[in-house]
Amino acid sequence: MADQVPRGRGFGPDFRYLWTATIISGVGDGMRVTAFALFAAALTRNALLVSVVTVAGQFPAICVGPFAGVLVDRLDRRRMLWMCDAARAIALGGFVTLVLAGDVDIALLACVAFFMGAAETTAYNLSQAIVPDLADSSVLGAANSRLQGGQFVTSQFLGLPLGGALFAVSAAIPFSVDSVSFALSGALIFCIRSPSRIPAGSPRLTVKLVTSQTAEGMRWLAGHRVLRATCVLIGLSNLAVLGVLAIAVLYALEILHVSGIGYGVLLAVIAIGGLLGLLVAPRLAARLGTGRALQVTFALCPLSFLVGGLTSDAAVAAIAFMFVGASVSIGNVVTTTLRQVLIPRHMFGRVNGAYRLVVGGMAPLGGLIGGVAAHALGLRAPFFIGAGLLLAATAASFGLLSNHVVDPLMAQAQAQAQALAQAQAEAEPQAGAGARPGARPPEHQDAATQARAKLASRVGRLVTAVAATCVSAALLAFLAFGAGPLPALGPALDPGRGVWLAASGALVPRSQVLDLPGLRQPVTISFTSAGLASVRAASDADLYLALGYLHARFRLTQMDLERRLGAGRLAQLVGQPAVSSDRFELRLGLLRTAMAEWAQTPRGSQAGRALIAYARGVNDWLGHLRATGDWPSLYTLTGVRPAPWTPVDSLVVQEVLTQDLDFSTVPLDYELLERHLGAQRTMQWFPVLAPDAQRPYDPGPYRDLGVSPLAGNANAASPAGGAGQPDGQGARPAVAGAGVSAAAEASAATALLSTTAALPAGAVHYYPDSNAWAADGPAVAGGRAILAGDPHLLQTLPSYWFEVALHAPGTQVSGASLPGVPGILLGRNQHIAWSLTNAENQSTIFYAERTSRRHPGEYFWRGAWRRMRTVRYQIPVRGGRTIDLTVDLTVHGPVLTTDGITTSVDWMGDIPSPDLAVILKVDHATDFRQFSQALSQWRAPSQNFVYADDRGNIGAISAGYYPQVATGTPWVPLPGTGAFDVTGTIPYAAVPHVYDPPGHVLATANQRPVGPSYPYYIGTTLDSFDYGYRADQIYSYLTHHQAMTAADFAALQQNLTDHLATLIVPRLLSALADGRLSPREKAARSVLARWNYSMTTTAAGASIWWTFWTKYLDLVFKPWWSGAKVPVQLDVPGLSVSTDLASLDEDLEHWTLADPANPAFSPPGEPGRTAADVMRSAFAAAVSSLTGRLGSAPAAWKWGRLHEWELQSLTQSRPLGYGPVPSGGDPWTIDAADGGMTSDFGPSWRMIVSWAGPGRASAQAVYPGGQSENPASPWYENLISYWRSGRYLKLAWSSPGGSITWKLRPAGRSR
Amino acid sequence: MTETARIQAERTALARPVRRRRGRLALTSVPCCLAGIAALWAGAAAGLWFLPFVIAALVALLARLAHLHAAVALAATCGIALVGWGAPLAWMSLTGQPVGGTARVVAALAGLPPVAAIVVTLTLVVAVLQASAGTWLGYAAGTLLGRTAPSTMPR
Repeated sequence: MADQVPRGRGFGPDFRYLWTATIISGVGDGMRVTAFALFAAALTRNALLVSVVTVAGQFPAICVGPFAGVLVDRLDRRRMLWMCDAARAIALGGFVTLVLAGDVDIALLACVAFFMGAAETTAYNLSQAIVPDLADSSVLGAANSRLQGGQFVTSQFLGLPLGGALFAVSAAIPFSVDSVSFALSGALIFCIRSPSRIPAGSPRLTVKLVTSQTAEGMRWLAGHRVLRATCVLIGLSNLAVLGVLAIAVLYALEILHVSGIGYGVLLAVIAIGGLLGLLVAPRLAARLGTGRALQVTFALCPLSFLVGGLTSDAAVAAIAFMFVGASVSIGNVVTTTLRQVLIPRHMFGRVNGAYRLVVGGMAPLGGLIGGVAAHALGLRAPFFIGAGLLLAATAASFGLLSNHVVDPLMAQAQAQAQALAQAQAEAEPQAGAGARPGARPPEHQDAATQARAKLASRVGRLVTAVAATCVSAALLAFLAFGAGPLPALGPALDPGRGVWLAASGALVPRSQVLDLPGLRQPVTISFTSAGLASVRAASDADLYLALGYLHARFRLTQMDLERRLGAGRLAQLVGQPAVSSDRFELRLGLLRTAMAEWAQTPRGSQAGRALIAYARGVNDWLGHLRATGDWPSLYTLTGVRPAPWTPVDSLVVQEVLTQDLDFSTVPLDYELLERHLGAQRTMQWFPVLAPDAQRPYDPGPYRDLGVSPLAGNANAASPAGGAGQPDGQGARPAVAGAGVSAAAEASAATALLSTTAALPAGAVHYYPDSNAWAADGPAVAGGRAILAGDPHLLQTLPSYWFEVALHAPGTQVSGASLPGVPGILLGRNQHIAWSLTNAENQSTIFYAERTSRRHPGEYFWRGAWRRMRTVRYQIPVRGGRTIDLTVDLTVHGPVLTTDGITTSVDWMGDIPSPDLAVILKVDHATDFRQFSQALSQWRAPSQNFVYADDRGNIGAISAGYYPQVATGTPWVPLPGTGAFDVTGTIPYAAVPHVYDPPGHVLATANQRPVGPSYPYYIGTTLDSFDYGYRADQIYSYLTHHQAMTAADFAALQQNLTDHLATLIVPRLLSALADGRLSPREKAARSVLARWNYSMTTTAAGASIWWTFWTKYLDLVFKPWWSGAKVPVQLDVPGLSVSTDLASLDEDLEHWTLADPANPAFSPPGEPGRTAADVMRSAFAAAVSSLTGRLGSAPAAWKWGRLHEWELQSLTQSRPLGYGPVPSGGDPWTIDAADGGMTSDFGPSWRMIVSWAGPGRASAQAVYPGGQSENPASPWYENLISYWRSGRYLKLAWSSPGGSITWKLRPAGRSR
Repeated sequence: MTETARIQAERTALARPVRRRRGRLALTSVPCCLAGIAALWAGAAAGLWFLPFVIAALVALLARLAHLHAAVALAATCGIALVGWGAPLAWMSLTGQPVGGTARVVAALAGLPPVAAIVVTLTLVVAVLQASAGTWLGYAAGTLLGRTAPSTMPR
């Protein structure tokens, strides 16, 4: 082949064809990479097979690359390049046909990946070899920069995401587009006019020749001083960079603490750095010289690696990674140019192949070394190892690759090449004419040549236009429809619409007149400056329509998220991460229950009319959004739109709260505890009745009235229907522990617990924290009645509650409403006030169903095999494929898992409960009789309803279902064969209740509501009654005060006294008096002795107490847990030794006070210890721990330095939450702070209603949050400051006040 | 006339039409750009998010037919896109709407750091990307329609 040196300046049209071809095939390449990976994952979940496909695509770079170089040197490069593209286009076209025919398996996929990899390796070598033919030597760097930059941008930023998006539509599309891109690319290469001819007299191609010429290329590389050094040093750089990238995902998640999306951002930053590097590389090389540019390239990396290795800050790491990306790109451009100049043209392919073998081969080696180093030495190790390697490379580059070494060689090579070309041009004046960039055809070229050139030019222009069309279409499609997790950015970021419209929605509402379809009479809604709303309507129907509209205006996203959560439609909005939640909820059956509730609700009833009107109001707002496109940001970003609201949706939202308060997995924990600790010890330490003294609000006497039947379970198979054949084996039905292996039971519990652990926060009931109390008669100033209530829930932004007052003829009620549900859940009306706390009884009973492979789809119950009822669902997934789900129902309820044992659940929340009808009756009740009558229909979640009225009466009723089993221990999963089934519930007349107690006070704080003589089973200490410390503290206050006022109740709601500390700290101080203490321990003891038991942020004693108690628990129980190998990782809140396990706190309290020599203090196999011994050890450990965390001065160990409080955003976006901020309280203080050292569970609403006479009350309330869910709104978190400082706002009542008024009118009237 | 003076006179004579052409271009291009910006602003309000692409394609087509260099067309269309999409945001901010707050919310919802500049920049990048693609398509279409290759200078 004749060496050719371009004589013209700059880039000619031929280079433009190559560039355009490169960016077009770049789009296809990026799409194919994503599509191959997704296709492999769709074909198999076997990780090994998936990796085989990936390796098959990358392996040719090593095994084919060097030999392909021989072909590059022997054949016409231009022709070979377009043939490579054509071959890839044809191969992919054939593959698409097979995909459409559904005839692709993993082996074929691997073969295609290998072929594409081989062609790509050859084409890459060719495109590097052909550049000097098309661009002047003076602009080689710029040419390489443009080629690599174009390919980089189109493949990384466009092809990769687009491939995923198109694959979701159809697997064939990305491969089809890739095939077309190669066809276009090949056509453009075909238009290049510069010929690259085969040298005359080339020997015939044989295997021997290929081998020898490949070896010749390697020898040449090894013998060239500069290229050899470049090859080794760049190889080392590759090794170091890939070593870091291999563990980058773990580094991002565990060290930088960013989310999966954050990791994606980090990768994008590397890519941006790479792009910047490509842009600056030619200028850098021109300004500094090639050698120095290489030195800069090497020097950038070690510093970046050191910074990356030392920092834990995501922003700093991102900047460091950006420099790494830039360094790699600069190195690529400079070394490509270096090779193109230094390697003789006739052997460029072979030498380049050898070079790329060495450099490319270092990548997998680097990944392996990075992984091993990270595993052995920690995630930061690859950074430091890489920095060391690159420092060495930098140092070596100063000796081997300085300008005075490289530049003369390059100048010499360029001079030689030019001389050669000059000589050739003189000998063959026509030969190279067409090859010069920008050169015109010589005058003596014949007409045929000119016509061919003209045709090529036209084809080139046409292909460019087609390419521009394709890329534009791809970009517009990406912007219009999004790709994978990326939203449709075009409509989303439209500055006149899109997410920016949420800005106007964030403004404080202004007074206005609104026309609402469905309204019969005008309605007025007014707002206080804090956003508290009052609605006044002429009828209940208009009232609830307006409430639906109001809720939707301020809380649409929250309402939609809640109904999606309950109805198993979260993945439609959130994507793949929510699929497990949707599966679980559809199995559990909230949607089925809500549908059954709606079917049982008479349309003309109060509840039926309220639900229909409410849905109409919500849909009025949805209709407005649909018409204007002003969707909340979440919907604009995702492109998903909320469906119209239905009454069933309101009932689903109600069911979500029921699940939150009532669904428990504690029986599975009991199962595992019994398995590991033994049944006897488990029941000793987690007993049904707590060993310590507690104060029930209903002291008795009690009545045993038998059981009442339960209403039909909407999620159970019919007991009569589906009865199959009797058990042919004549075997006795299995009972607990018999016929079922321990491994199977553990497997079932593990499967269920791991599922529930992955549910959104609040989906499973964990923390029992609510307070409500009332006082009357002499206990109250004025002799009437006062009620205080603060239900404790997961504290979120927006809050569970929306404060509103509702007024219509016959309806006058004010308080906390639940967005999504009509009515006031807790508050006051003209005559009564009420609040709620959770009853905490066991409402979830698990059954181990007996199944057999010989009876597929059946279970054994009451002596016969019964067919399971099946329900089928489809779960739409945003950015993914719709998932089919089949739910099996037994007579007990839905099957939640078939791992190990087919386990079903009989949950009271699965029984349709007319909660809304009850709430609306309570809203209208005027005395305790009506109140109690309304609550008789309440089923789930069982709640303590605390009451106070304007006549000075108080009372409480624990309404709801309390399931009773015929026999067995319901706190562990029971056999599902019939003998252990739920037979009914405690009759309403026998549920815990009290009315006008003789002591004039009553308090519920989730403690066991009845004493030990209560004749029914209602739950255990672990499932899930409170420790009783809050109730004791409240009773202690109420019974020691007379003539209390609302201010006293407010102070009590914010009381931070730890009742357990008042009992234990004196014993601890006594124990410490006997022991030898270090000076610091003495100082700590002194702080503790002066402490007033209040868990305020400034109290150092609070830190010492809490740390001591957690250490005390650990020292007593953890040795037992370790010895028994309790699998705490399966359910950390439910199994690990911590203050969250109420039973253990109660045990330890009781033993410390009354049984200090209990054997539990002595770990298995160790000498005997007493409570005092362990307390001293725990105190020493606490002091040591606090010294390490907070310094050496005990007086400075303030509780606020250890304990924080935060509000999570419902969207799970941390920046949209509040805090964390230093906070007082703990789980046992009345103003509770639960959920760990950064608490997020506690009072969700504080209300005090003080009755002054008939129909007269002063009511005040506050909640942590704000009325609006829009984080940019001033009403998003404006109430938090009131809540934190202990202030209340007046509960809106008789006259809707406020400066902002909406006049709602029936639609159709003119303004 | 000396040789130097003759060459100078020839150069001046050659440069005059170029200057005239530049003046005409300036006179026509400024209103064109303003019209483009206004169209983008109005289009954005109407939900026509793809208008930067359409306008860029039209401008590039006209530029190619007028033998303007591709870089000039690209600069003009990107400028129009930037101002056409940036101006509505600026106006919203000036009229008291919480543009920064909204941008922070959007960034947070998207899992990005809650920095307003990220979403504002992303918005403008979307406009520029559309303008770039539109320019390429318009220019390529103009190349098919036109007869000669453009020069690097306005003719």
